[in-house]
Parts: sequence; C-alpha cells; structure tokens
Amino acid sequence: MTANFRIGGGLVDSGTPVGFTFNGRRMTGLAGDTLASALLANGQRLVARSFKYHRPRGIFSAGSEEPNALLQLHSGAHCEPNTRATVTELFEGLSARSQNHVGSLDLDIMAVNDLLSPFLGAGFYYKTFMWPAAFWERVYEPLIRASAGLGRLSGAEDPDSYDKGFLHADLLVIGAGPAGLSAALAAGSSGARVILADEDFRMGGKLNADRCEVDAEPGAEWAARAVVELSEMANVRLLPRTTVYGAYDHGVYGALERLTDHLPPGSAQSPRQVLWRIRAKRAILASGAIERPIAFGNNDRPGVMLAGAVRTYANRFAVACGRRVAVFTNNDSGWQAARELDARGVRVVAVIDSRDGPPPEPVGQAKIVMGGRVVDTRGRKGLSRILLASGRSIAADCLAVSGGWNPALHLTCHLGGRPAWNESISAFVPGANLPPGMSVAGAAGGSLGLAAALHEGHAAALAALEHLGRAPTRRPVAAAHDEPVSGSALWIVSESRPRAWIDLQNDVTLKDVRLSHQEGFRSVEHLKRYTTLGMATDQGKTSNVIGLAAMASLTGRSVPETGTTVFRPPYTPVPIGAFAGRSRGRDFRPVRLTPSHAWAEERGAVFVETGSWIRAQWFPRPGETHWRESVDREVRMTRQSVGLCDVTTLGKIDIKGRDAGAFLDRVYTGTFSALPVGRVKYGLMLREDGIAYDDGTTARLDTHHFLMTTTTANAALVFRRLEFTRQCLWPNLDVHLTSVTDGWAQFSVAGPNARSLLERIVDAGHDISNDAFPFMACSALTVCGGTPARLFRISFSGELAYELAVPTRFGDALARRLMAAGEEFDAVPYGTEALGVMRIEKGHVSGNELNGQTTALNLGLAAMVSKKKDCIGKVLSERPELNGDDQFRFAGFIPVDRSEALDAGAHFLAKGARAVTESDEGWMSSVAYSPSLGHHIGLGFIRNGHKRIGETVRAWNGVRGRDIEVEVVSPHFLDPAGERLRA
Amino acid sequence: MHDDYRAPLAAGTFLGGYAKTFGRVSLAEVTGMELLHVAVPQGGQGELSARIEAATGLAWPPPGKFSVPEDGGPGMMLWLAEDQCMIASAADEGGSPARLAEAIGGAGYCTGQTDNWIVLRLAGDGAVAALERICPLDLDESVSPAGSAARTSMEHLPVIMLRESAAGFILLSASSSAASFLHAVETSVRNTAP
Repeated sequence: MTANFRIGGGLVDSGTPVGFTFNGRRMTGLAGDTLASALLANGQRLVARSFKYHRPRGIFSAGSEEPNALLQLHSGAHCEPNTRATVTELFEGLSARSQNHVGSLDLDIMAVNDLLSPFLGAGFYYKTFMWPAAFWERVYEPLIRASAGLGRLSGAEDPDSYDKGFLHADLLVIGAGPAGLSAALAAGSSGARVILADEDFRMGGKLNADRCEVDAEPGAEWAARAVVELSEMANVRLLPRTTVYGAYDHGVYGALERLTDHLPPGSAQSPRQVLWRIRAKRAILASGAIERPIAFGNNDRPGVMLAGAVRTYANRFAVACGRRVAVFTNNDSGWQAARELDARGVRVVAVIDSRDGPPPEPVGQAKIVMGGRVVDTRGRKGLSRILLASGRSIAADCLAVSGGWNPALHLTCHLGGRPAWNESISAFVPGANLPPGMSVAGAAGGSLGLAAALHEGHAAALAALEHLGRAPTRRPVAAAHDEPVSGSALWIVSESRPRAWIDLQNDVTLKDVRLSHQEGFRSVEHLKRYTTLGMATDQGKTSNVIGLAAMASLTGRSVPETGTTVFRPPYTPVPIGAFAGRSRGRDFRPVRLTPSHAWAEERGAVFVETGSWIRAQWFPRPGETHWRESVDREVRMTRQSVGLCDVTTLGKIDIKGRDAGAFLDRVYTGTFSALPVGRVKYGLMLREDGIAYDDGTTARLDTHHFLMTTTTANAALVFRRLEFTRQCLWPNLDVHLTSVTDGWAQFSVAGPNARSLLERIVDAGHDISNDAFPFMACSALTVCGGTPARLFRISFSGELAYELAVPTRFGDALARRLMAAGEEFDAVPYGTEALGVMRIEKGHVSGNELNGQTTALNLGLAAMVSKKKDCIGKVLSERPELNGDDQFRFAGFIPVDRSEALDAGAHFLAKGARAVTESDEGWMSSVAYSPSLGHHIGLGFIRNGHKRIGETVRAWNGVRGRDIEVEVVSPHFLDPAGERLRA
Repeated sequence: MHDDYRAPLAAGTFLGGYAKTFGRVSLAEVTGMELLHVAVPQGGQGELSARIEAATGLAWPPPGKFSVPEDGGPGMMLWLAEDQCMIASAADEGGSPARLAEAIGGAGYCTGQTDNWIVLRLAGDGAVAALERICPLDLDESVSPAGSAARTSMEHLPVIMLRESAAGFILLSASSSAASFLHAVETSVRNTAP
C-alpha cells in the first residue's frame, strides 16, 4: 500500500491513470507525469543510493539537473542505466529499478562505506592502492572498476535504432520557457524560419511550474496557446523532447530529439532518437536558470529538495512532496515557493530565511525564522526533522531549499566563452564572448523575473530579425509582472558540524574540498579532477557554484576570482548510439561493389574489403580446403593458360584538353606529352616532398584525351590533388578531369592464351595481333557485336595480358561471356590474392612498397624521373639526404632454406648483428608463396640492395619470434627480360 | 562456333529497376537516363553553349541550377562546377550521348557518364522529411527552389541532387555504391514514415 501524495489540479490528466513499476512494485501515476512525479505521488522518497557512500537518496530536482534520482529503466536488451527520473516521461508499463546497491534499496550492504567515510575522502584511492605494484592490474583495478559507475549495461546489443539529420533555420531558440516562447512568437510572426527546441515534453518552462499570469491568463494556459499558435506557423518548427546539447563552429548546434523514449520499448517503428545538426544564422539561448542548493549538515537525505522543484511538483504535477514541508532560503523565490505550496494546500511548517530583517509576509500557519540556518537533519531513509543553528528542531518530511539561481549558461561557453560574475544575483552569467550569432534572453542571462524574460526574448528576436535583414514584428510583448528576486549569498552553513554535501552525485562533501585545498590543489580544474566535483551525468549543474564558493572561502578569494571550470558539450548525456546513428553493424559504412560481384558470389568467391570496395579474394573450388590451394591453382592456371580478374576498382580519370599532355608532364615524373595516340605508359607521381605517391598507367586515346589509372586506394586522393593542381596551381592550362572509375567495368585477361580468348569476343575489324596491337598498345573498339569497349595491352602479372573495359552495365555479362569463351582454354577467374602473388613474382611495386616513405630511387625507378623537365616533387626528390650511397634499394629475397616461409615486416640484419635499430638494414615489404618457383619469395628494401645481389642476410621478425637467413636477389623473379608480356 | 561469343551483351540495371511506395513517398530507380559530362575549352563558352542549345534546346544553366528545354522537350542540363555541366537525356528519345558529343564536336570536352551514376527519384509529401536525415543541404524552398542542382554527400556517398518540384527530387550517386545509397535513402524514408 503506497501513500497518496496527489493533490488536485496541475497539468496532469487525473482521468488517465498510468501503471508502472518501481523495483517490481506496481504503482500508478497520471498521464503528464514524469517518473519522478509519479514516484513522489506514490510516497516513494527513497529512490537511489549514492555513488560512494551508498547513502539513501531521493528526488532532488524537477529537471535535467537531477543528481540523485538516476534509475535503471526497462529490462533485457532495452535496459537503460542512469536515467534521470525527473525527465523520464511516464508511460503505461514503464519499469524502473534503483541502482548502485548490493541487496535491496532499503538494505544496501554497501552502506558500510558510509561508516568508513573517514577513510574514503577525496583521492583516497590514489593513496590507498599504491602497494604492492603487482596488485595494480590484478587486484586494485578490478576492485575499483567493480565499484565504479552506477547502473549496469545489459551487455546485449542495443535493439533500438538511431538516426541523424540536418536542420537549417534563420533563428534557433533554445528553450521554450517565457523568454523562448516570446522570442519564437516575435520571430515566427515576422516570417523568419524559426526552430524552437525544448528538452521537456511540455513546452512552457517555468510557466508550467509557477502560479503566474501572462496577458491576464494563467501562465501555463498562455504557454499552451502560444505553442498552438507557433505550431500553426509554417515557418516555425517545434522540437519538444529535444535537448540542444552543444554549440559548435559556424552556427552549428547539436540537438538530441527523443522520439520514442516516452513509449514502451520496442513499440515504435521509428528510430528511438535523432541527433540533429542544426545550422542557424542566429540563436537565442533561453535555457532558464537552475536553482542551487545550500550546503549544510546531512543535506543529502531523501526529502531535502530544491524549493523550485517542490513548487513544480505541486503546481504542474499536482504532487505534494511531503506532509510537512519546511522551506530554507536565502532569497525571495523561497518565499514564492512557500506561498504557492500553501495556496495548493500543502502544509508549510516553517520558512527559514538566512537573511535578517522582518519577514516579508506570513505563510499560512508556518513558523517564520529570519536570520535562521539549517545545520543538520535527521531521518536515515527520509527526512524527519531539521535542526537549526539556534538549536531549534522542527519536524518536517520535506525541506525545500533555495540558495538562489544559476543561469543555465553552459552553451555560451562551448566555443571558449567564459562566464562573468553578477553580484546582484550572486551567480555567473554569460560573458561577453558568446558563440557567434548567439544572444541570451531571460533567466539564462541572469534576468530572473517573468516580465524581464518575456521582454528579453522579444527584444532578442527583434535584434535577430534586424541581423537577418527582416522587418521587425508588430506583435506586442506579452504582459506580466516581475516577481521579487532579491537574495543574499549563502553557500554553506558554516555552523554545520556533520558532513555537508556539495556534489550529491559524486558524494563530494565540504570536507573533500577542504582536503583538496589542504593538499595543494589551488586551481578549480584541479579541484574538480581531484574530488570529482562536477563530473558525471549532471556535470555539476547544482553543485558547481557552491563548490567554487567553498574553494573561494578556503583561499580567501572571491568566487569570480576563483573562476569556473570549463563547460563542454554535451549539456546533458547523449547516448553513444545516437552519435553512432546508423553507422553500426553492416551499415557501418557504405560499400562499393564491382560489376562482377554477383557473378563472383555465384562462383563462391571469398571477398575482402579493399578500402570501401568489396573484391573477390579467391575463388575456391570444391575439394579445396585451404586458401593457398585456391590461390596457387589460380596463379598456375593463369600462367599456363589464361585467367580473368575484375580490376574495375583501379581509379580511372578522364583527362581532356589542349594542355592535357602538358598537365600530365607536370604531375608525373615521366613525359607524357610525347606519348603517341594508341599507346599506354607507366607513370609515377611524387608528393611535393619528393616521396613516391601513386603509380599507374595512362593511355593516350586521342590527341587531347588521356585516360589515367590510379591505385585503388588512392583513386579519390589523386583525383582531388589533380583537381587542386588544375584549379589552383595551373589555371591557365586547358585541361579538364572527369572520374570514370564507376563508368567502366574493367577486366584483366592474363596468360599465354589471353589473346586467343579475346579474339573470340572482339568484333571483326579490330586486329589485336602482336604486330598490330603490341605491348603497351591501347584502342577503343567494340566487342560482342557492338558493345563499346577499350582494350589496353598492359600486364601486372608479367604474362601476355590485356585489360578490357566496357560500360559498367555490361560488366556482369562480359565476365560471364569471357568465362564461357575461355572454357576451351580452362580459363580461371582469379582474385586479389593471386593478383598479388603474380605481381610479387614479377617484381612490380604496389601499396606495400609505395608506403609514403619511399622515393623513386628506393623503388628502383630513378630512371623514370625525367631529367629534361620539371614535375611535382622533383626538386625535393633531389635532396642529398634522399640520394647517394647507402639508400634503401628495392630488391628480392628468397629463404636460404627454401622450405622456410617469409614474413612481411621482417627487418634485415647482418649475420651476428644485434636486433637493435642501429643494426637495421631494411625491411621486407611483400611476401608470397610462389607456385611458379615452389618456394616463398619476398620484396623489400635493403641498403645498397642493387650492389648486394647474392649476399645472405637475416630476416628478423620480433613479432613472430622468427629469424631466418635470406638471399638478396633481383626483384624480378619471373621472366626478367619481359618476353612473356611481349609474346 | 566462335561467333556465339559475339552475341550482344545484355545490359544490366544497377538496382534492378527498384520502385517502391512508402505511404505518400515514392522511391524508384530511374533507368534509361543517359548522362554526358561537358567541359568548356578555355575561351570557348559561347560556342559550346550555342552548339548545345542548337542540338538540344538546353541553355547553359547558372551555378546551382539545372535547365530544361524551353519548349518543354526532354532532357536537362545541370551545372556541376565552373566550366562543367552534365546533360541528361532519355535514351529512348534519341538523346544518345555519342550523338550529342558528335554534335558538340571540338567545341567541348565530352565524357560519357551514364554508367558512373545511379539515378533515384524521390517524390511525395514526406520526401523533404526523409532527406533531412541524410542531406546536409538546406531543403527549404527559399534556399533550394525547384530547378536547383547541388552536389553534396549523403552517408559518405557523393550525390548530385536535382529538385524537380517542392516534393520531387532526383538523386544521382556513384553506381558502384548503388546498393548502399539506395539503402541510405530507403532507410531515411522508412525512418520518417508517419
């Protein structure tokens, strides 16, 4: 049986009960409740255990600043830890559990920590877990990890989906309280594109929480009408349940919209949350203010709450937070809370004002104590009594505390702004250095009154309209009165003897701040890190300023002199899933498929990711049990007869223009302007610093038309660099670039029967005989009865080989046709592994060799750097440090014991040399088992390699613990004279 | 028997002619659209524009726009970059890129692009809401009215976006990642279904 703390009225629907469970107990709330208000309505004061001391904790606030009421929602894979009950919208069937206790919430055996608190002060684990060192990772770390954190993750994959999106606006209004609504109405009615975002599910902010009037009607009704009016404006977009969590460069704001968190888990089709990037020309921060507590002895008991929250629960949620409510305040808003509670029929037993002087007014039957201070409380699992400095004791089950208001200025600091101190409200307010385009209105700027909020919101909108070049609105400002807001600074009740909590979430007490100061931490940033003050999910929203005040009093400085820590995004927690969005699992990133992908799949190919491409790695045949069997067979059969490989992934760039040849001369080390039409040439590109960058062949298809190929990996990079040089370095050249990578399906046809195979599909009239179409020839022709094609006689494998390209739409059909026509030759498809083996056998360099550290000289390609002309990278490639003797030279390697395997990444050492950097003579870059030679072969770089053929060195691999002897040989293992490819 | 191997090759479509309707939004692969990239030789804008206009009725569009023939005929020309446009024509209406390239002759640098791109048409009341999830561009009609052409990226993929009407878009993306692109757009439509 639960107590009923529900009072009448409010903005909840008393006709719509909502069932939910807390720790398995069935409870009933009302539509419009938060989980927190529903728990309070059911008399559930104890809802959590504190982080370190496992102290009983209750609901403290009514908003996103909540430090205590962090609950675990849902079960199974939907389980969500550390959810603030104060911002969780109640729905039928919601199941919530308390967290961070061993045993029940009522009898948490870890509460023993509270008894040990004298030993568990700030930094205790830095001092405690020091000895012996052998315990650090095996004992201490698991121990600390086990006690860290609050809730528990399910360990299952998140079953929800998340999305991202982009929004654009003239004006983003952050917060839909009086200032935000006023701003949105003014800007919206002028026709500007407005986005109004609020973290609450009901817009209105304090208008829903206070008993106030706007335009002579109750504030909540005015807010509801304003929201309806805004929703009818086509130029205004309302984003309730949306937290603008960060301000970023160029007017970009991050916002998290919670689309389905208020619905039973798994019941909605749409993604759970959307992470919006909002690009706004102007922004108005109208995020209101957060009430701050006062630190006094045992101020963390369930029932000690922020006064504004107690008022909100009564006015908006129709819940009394206690049967006997006392108010402790240092400012006028505490009195407002007391008055409104009394008016709502909540019994106020006392109002204790730390200020001296006459009481402003009587509040029902409440005792009024001016100049009073609460020094201690009683009641282990819920407040029962408060003790005043005067020695007086008052029975109360709820203490509503108001220590003044801190503007929620966090977003003003996200781009480096620092807040300024405002003495009149004893709080930090936004400084002068706001994010570009942002202005602040209402309580967020330190103007705590209602009329001021409405006026400032309106004025900020007018200013924004002027910036946007729009006509001002004629709409008048809504009328209201400013409530009294004066107060005096009181942070900590110095007469308190028991522990006084500053940061409820992290269990940081005044004693911890003292200890930190005593141990020499003077900067607030150090204080924060040493004590954890202001960390974790609430980011110190209620604790920050009193922590600074405590620090200030210890150092004898003022709060502004002490300064604040830096506020960074996100304002409130954002699930990692929302940041990931759709980019998870199979959708982690987009993939590119080759034109023969479906065909390769049908043949059972094993695929590999190469960049974003998915390529066939090898094509196993029935009976083959190891990849090497498949790859060796593909190599052997290609070298014996003919093989077919999809090489579409190589970058293809169409280069056209009167100066296309001259352009190529500048980007390649070789001369291309003299290349005859119908010929292909191998080209090497250097970076500006002279290091080799990319290679490939370029064909001259017409006088002013070249087709460049790049490596698969560098295709986009090369295109971008070429565009840069074309547009920025040589705008006077008549040359245009077009990527045609995806437009042509390209197949390598390699092996002694390659020509015979091609002759079966090339249309009559195209002579591809060795005489008519020799090595390095190219031509546009047609195949298969008129399909346009391009044929290049180039060879990566070292065989008689061609690359045949057709428009991509014909790629699948061409692969099948080539295989059909190749049947009489036992043609095989081969994948990237066989491709790699054959290029290593031939001694061609690839990505492993063009690794961003090697020069043309290192690669054995120095002769390709033309002496007769300049090109990018040429001057710096001539640096003495990159030339002369003792450079790394490209070479081949074979194991002295031919049965040994080689390791890529092995380093070369002289026999007897120690395996230290000073002895390093080079490295193995590529290795393969050569089915043609019957043993392993390797390519690599070794100092002066070209003069060391026949020498024996060690290939040392510290990772795999291998150290074998290898012989330095020519990198061209197969057909060094190139007779095959010219056959 | 060798001539059997010279039988014409069958042309495939990148997405098999995909077409689906989700509530009020339709998403479909546009097949048969021929694309020709045209670049201006230095100093040759006037002559190139004149030849294209004579051959197709299409005027060289201003930056960020695409043009359609004044007589309401088929085809369109979209602005890609300084000195570069792409001409889109329907294959079955005589708009062969080869024929067009021939008409342009030496007045422009022409490169066939049909096979480089997959073309989707997204239309209906929820089209803008769907695109908001993947398109970084401002889709408000005051910024991107019908007739706009823009290059952008969606889900890491390159996109050319043409706005045919308030709620009608043509999206071009790289053909090799056609399946990923369709998945991205379709997911956006599904995620924003009312």
